[in-house]
Amino acid sequence: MTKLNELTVKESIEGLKAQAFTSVELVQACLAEIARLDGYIKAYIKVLAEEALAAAQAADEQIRADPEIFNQKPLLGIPYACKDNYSTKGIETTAAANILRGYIPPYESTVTEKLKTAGAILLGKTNLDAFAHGVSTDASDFFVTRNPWDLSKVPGGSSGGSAAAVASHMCTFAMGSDTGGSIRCPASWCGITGLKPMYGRVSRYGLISMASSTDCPGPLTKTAWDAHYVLQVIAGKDSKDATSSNGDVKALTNSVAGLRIGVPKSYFAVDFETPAIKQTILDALKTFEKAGATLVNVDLLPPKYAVAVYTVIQRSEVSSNLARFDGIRFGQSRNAFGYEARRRMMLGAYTLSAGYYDEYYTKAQKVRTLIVEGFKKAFSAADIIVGPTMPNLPVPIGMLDSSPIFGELTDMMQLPGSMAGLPVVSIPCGFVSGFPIGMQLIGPHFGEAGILSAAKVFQDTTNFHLQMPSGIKELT
Amino acid sequence: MPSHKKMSAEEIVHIAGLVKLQLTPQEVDKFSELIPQTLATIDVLQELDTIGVEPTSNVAGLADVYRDGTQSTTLSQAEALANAPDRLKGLIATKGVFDRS
Repeated sequence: MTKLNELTVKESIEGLKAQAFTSVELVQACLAEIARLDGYIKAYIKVLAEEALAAAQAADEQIRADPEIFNQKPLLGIPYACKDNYSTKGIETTAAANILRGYIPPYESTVTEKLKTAGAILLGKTNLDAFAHGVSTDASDFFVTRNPWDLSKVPGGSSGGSAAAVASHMCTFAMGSDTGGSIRCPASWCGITGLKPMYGRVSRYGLISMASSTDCPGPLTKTAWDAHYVLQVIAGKDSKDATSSNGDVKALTNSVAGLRIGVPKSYFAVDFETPAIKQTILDALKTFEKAGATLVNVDLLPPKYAVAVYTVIQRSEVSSNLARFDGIRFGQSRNAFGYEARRRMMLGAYTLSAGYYDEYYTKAQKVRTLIVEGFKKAFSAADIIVGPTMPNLPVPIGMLDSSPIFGELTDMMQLPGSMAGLPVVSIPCGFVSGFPIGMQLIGPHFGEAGILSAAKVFQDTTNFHLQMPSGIKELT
Repeated sequence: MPSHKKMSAEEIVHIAGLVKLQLTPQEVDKFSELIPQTLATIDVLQELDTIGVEPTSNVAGLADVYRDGTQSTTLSQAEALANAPDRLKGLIATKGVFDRS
């Protein structure tokens, strides 16, 4: 029998509605799995066991009193894990950075507020690369999180704690944030579904800023259906985030018949660690074709240009955003910044400084326009675009410093979508050497329902997303 | 095209000053090589012709976003002070801006 912590959001809600089990049992199952596994995986920075159980008890009472309550509270009683860069009122929020140790936000992020209003239960705060600077969760100032598929490997990052928690069923779903791949990379390496919504679709208020022009809050889930369900709760215009947008999240469809899937040649011409990764994605495209979709070639700029644009823009915005950490109003002194934050600020300060601004920053913003225009043209011929999420398998712990742009090279497939602010979902589509392989589906602005519908069709016809890491089963 | 030879210690200390970082001598040495290395990876941008191309800062195409001129609650004084390491008479104490000497 499936354990309660292994259920999807959809299955959990159906069970709670039918009163087949309680929210307390659901939360207890997650807490038991955390107790069993998190000493090995180390996904959580903080677990809120007592608070979660109290919230579950309250949820159960509401469900007993009114079984229709899910119409008002669509996530009532569902336990989730949250990346520790979302401000949670009264709960220490660190971004896994020493400089923020002891910081207790006096306000709540819009996303966690919406989740709370919808009845979701915060189980704990998860580890990340400090300030979300990284692709491994190796660059946390606190400790390393391990990949549930192989404890000697990184889970990906920066939302590595959230991804590892979902993959090892230490929560029902999790929240992450994606600036240049920080949801999709760990989702791919941990074998789960990760949605980076369109830029502005979900409010950034209360999310500790990294690169403000590309930061996107989004869910990490067990299925595409779950990602769509959570998105409906967290999406929408927010007066506290001037860059947020209105627009309905459309319903999912159950077919890809007639769907035009764009296949960018340049995304398959990069250096893959092994040709088997590329082949896995090509096989997945065949699955779509069999389901009635049409493949069309689209021309997009090679990802190396997005890598360069991202390197400039992200470091520039980081150097500006991290200026607020003065150690006067909150946090420790600037001496507490870790190495990764320092080197990003240093480059950003340089590229924004007098004499170099046009050469680097303005040039990068102009190439960003070319990337945006390229996608617009591609979306006139295709409804969605599909490519690999990662060109390589999860790397061993401790490989972080092998290149000054290690993260960007690792995330290269994801940076074009980030630079254009597009919605992208990564889903597992096969295995190579025992590791899950992720495929990303990119949509036009406001096109989340399109990519998630295609992802759902893929998950309806395959079982890659149902596989569980076997190595952690026997751990006690 | 920019050149990417090793930067001088003075340049590195100047950049660090712009972002208010105090670097150790080891960090100065490391960054003097690392920053030019990173800049070299950005050079691919020069391959693309961007004459007449407008820069993009907001991908959603938003412009002139205003909020309604209505009152809303903000942090209380106690909340705003709660995380400040140094407080004085209900205010946040900071370092002096001007040097008295």
